[in-house]
Amino acid sequence: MLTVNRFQKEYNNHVILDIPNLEISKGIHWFVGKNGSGKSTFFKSLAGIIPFEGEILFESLAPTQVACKFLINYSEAEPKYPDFVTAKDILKFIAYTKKATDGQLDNLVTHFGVADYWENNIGTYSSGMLKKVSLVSGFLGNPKLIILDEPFILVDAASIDKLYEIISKTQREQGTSFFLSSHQDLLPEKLKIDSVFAVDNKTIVRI
Amino acid sequence: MKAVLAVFQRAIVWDYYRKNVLFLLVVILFAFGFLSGQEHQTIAKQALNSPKLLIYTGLLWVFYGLKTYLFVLRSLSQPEFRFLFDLKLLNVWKRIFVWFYVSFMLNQLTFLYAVFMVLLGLMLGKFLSVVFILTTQLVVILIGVFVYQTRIAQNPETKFSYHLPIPKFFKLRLPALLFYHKYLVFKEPVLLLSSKVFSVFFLLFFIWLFPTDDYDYRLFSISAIIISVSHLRICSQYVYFQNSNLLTFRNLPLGLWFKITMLICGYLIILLPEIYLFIIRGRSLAGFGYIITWIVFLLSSVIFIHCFQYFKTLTDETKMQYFFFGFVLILLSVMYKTPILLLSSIFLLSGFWFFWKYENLYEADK
Repeated sequence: MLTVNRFQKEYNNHVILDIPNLEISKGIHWFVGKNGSGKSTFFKSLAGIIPFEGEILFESLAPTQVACKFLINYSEAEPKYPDFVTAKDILKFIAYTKKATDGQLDNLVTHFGVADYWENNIGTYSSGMLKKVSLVSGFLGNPKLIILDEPFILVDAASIDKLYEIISKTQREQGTSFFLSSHQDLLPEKLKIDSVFAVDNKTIVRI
Repeated sequence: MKAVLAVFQRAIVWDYYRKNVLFLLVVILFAFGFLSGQEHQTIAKQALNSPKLLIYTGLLWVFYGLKTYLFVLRSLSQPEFRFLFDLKLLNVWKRIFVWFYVSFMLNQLTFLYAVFMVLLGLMLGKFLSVVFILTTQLVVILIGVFVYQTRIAQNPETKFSYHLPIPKFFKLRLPALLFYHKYLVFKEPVLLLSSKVFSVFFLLFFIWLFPTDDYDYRLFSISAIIISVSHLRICSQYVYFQNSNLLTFRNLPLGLWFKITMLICGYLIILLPEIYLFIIRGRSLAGFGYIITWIVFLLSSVIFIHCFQYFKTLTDETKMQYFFFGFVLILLSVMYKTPILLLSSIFLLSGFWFFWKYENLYEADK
């Protein structure tokens, strides 16, 4: 499903991540690594958000290709949106571009409880509310891979249960793969994880 | 005290002139390249004789002052300028003196022209106008002193913001195309206003000037160049906005032409005041065909400036140098009667190429 070759990412001439070779098959995968280890950098590269050296191919497509962006969705660890627009404005646009089916967005905002506040400006949201908006955006469209960066931080216990539920359901019904990350070693109990990857020493290895 | 003044001179005054070199060059080229000394005297005399014109001149100076205040406030909010808050260690009169010096130095562009008008006013015996000019200049400088002194009395961490209350009718659904426009209106109103005031003023002035013996439609083409240059900061802010507030949008499957169409529509909306003004005021002076050409030229040059920002390998200062030489080159090309449609094609093609090549590679500083 995913092939990584000679991947390298650096900031200010300082190498953050160097992955000579990595292959990941379909399933739910858990990426664990301490803060600043490069999990988000890898995910952002994979989602086509930041440039990098080397090659990443998802089903033979590069992350910058438009076709690939239909297949990979990304939900940020600490989302940042303009505070003067509403979540509805943002999510409607994302749903339109990701070609979400009719009613998908409404179902998701209801599931995560975003519908209660999504017509208010983002500036009035708490970090948990904002995180849920980001989680909704991750499920829009018909992706084959959903990347959820630190999905269990900032949200309450009830929302975490809802997240487990929707991840299992989406994987079961649509065969969608998931990349989940955490800076804690603890594995999520209610999810069947196919493999665990450690992000450490500027590289990623399967444990 | 001399050492303190030198620090503020280097940190703020020099930095201001370095970062605004292109804007100042445009103004100076316009003032001394197109208008002769005789014409300056005529304009100044008209202003001295007409209270209405004098008030407009004063307003323009106030707007220029606003630009300088905004610059200093921005500088003070940056971590590398935190040391300037140590000015609080000096007594209040010394602090006021330092800020007076900074404000005075930053307003040299309008102050020197005011001196010229004062001398002319004294020769013509227009003492009331002279008092008005001097008072306006003093007020512009003193407002600066007040603003800077107030800012420095606050905590350095305090963010300077100018949030406008959002009226209810603005809470309708907002298309993504208008995100940046709303950002400009509610988060950067001073930048928007100052850019618009300058470009509208220059456009009106060129329309008023037309026709001259030396220049034909080229005069309007030059006004389009000046308008696009006055939007330089709006363009760089656009790129910054997209890469800081809407970074995840880069995960969206948007094709090249969709993005380019969004960009063109976005700038068309930003440039609406100038376009509307040119159509209304310029249609009796220029034919419909030229008006369309002028709009394309203006839009293409602004889009080029935007796309050039994606050149991440160049530093901001190098980019300014490129803009500076590019500006002179385009100005000469227009003067030597290069068809502006040809220039527009070059702007659009090279702009789209930059966009296609570098937009995906662009990354905001970490």
